[in-house]
Amino acid sequence: MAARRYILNRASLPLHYEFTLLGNRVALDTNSAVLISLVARSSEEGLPRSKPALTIRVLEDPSLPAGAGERLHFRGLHHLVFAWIGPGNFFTFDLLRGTVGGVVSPAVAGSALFWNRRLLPIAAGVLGTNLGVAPIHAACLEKKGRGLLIGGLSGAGKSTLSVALARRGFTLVSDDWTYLSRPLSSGAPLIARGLSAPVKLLPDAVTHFPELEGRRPERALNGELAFELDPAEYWHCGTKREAGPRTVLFLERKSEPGSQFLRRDPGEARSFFERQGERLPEELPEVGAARAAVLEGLSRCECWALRTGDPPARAAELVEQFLEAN
Amino acid sequence: MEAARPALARDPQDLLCRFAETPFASAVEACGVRIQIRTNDPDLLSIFTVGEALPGEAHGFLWKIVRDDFCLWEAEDPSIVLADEVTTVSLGPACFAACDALRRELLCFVGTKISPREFRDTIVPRFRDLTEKALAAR
Repeated sequence: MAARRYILNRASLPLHYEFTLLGNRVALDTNSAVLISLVARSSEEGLPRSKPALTIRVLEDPSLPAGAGERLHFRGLHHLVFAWIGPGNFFTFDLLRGTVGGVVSPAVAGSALFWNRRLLPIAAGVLGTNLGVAPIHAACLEKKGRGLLIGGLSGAGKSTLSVALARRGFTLVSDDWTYLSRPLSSGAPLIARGLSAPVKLLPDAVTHFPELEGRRPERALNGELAFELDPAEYWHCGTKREAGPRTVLFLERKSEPGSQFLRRDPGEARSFFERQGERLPEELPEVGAARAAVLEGLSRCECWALRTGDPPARAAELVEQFLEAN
Repeated sequence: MEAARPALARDPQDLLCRFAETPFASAVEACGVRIQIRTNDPDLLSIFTVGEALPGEAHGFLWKIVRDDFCLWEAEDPSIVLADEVTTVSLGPACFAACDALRRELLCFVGTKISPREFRDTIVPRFRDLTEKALAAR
C-alpha cells in the first residue's frame, strides 16, 4: 500500500507565528491559517524576548479523515514520544530537540478544543523540561497574593475543594495540572502556572454542586468520565495564569465528619510530587535533574495535610480561616 | 528452552511504556553497518538472520522494538513524516517507528495485531530504508 509522505520544513509550512506558553516563547510553523488564528485568539499575553523554547510544526492535510482527537494513544522511547489522535493524525514529540511535529486533518487543525485541551497540555507535560517547568498533579489557587498548592491522591477531592475555594473568592490558577518553574531571583517563591484547561470534576461532584445536575460527564484525556467546565463561565470565579505558591496542602479524605490540619515536612511535598510524576528517560539524565531542581524549590513552602470528612464548602471555609491565621 | 517473554507492565508512572524491558538482543549486518536489535519479543527477533552479538562490540545503529501488548488496533495506511533528522513512520497505534539519524537509533512499538511475518514482510524493509537514509544523511 502506498504511504502518505510528508516533509515538515519551511516550504511545506510557510506560516509562522510565535506565542507564549507557560511563560516561554513557542514557535508555530504550519500551513493552516485557521490554526494560526485559533492560537492567536487563545494564547497568553506578552512574548518573552528569549529564543523559542519549543517549536511546533503542524501540517494540515485536507485528504485526512476528521480524526476527532477523542481516542488518543501515546507511547514513548528514549527522547521520542508518539501520539496518535485519529486515523492518519499523529504527532511526534522530541525531548532532545524541543520540537513537536505532526500531521492533522482540517477538522483537528481548526479545533480549539483539541488545541487547548489536548495538544498544549500534552506538550507541556511531555516537554516540560524544555519549557523549564515541572508538571505536578496538583491544583493551584491564590488569595491576597498568597499561592496555595493542593495535592493529594487521585480521588481525594482536589478539584472539588478548588471549586469550593474559588467560590469563596480564591483565584484559580490551575486545577488538575500545575507547572512549576524556578523563580528568577534566589529566595523568591516558585512560580506556579496553569493552562486555560477546564476544571475536571468527577461524576460524584454533583452531590456537592447541584448545578451540575442534568449535565452529562464526558471522557477526559486520561480516560476518566468527568465534567470538564470553564470555572469562569460556570461559577464566575476569578482565574489567572500564575501565582507564587507559599503553602502546599495535601488533601486526605476520612470517613467521619471533622477536619484537622497536620504539619508536614516540606521535603515530603517534594518527594510526593516526584513519586507521582512520569518516570523520565534514562538516556536524558539532564531532564530528570532539571525537574528535581525545580521541585527542590518546594522545600521553601509551608507544608500541611488537611484530613477531612467535611463537605467541600465547609472544608474550603476552614482552609480560608487556616491560611488567614497562619 | 524458550526464553520467557517479559509482560509489558501497567505502571502509572510509565504510561508511555518507556521503560519496557527489552532483554532479547542480537546484531545483524545490514545497510553497511552492524545493527544491534533489542526487543521484548523473541518471535520478532527470530525473523532476523542473526549474527552472534559479541559483548561490548560497537554497533553502528540501534533498532529497539517493543511489542505493545496493550495495543489491539489493526494497522492503518502508512504515513511517513520527515522532520530534520527524525523520520516517523506510523501505521496508526498498531505500529509507530521513528528513526533518529543523529543518534543512530530506530525506536518502534508494534501492536499485537501485527504478526512476526507481517512485521518481516512490510515493516522491516521500511526499517532498512530508514536506516540507509539516516546513514546517508550523516
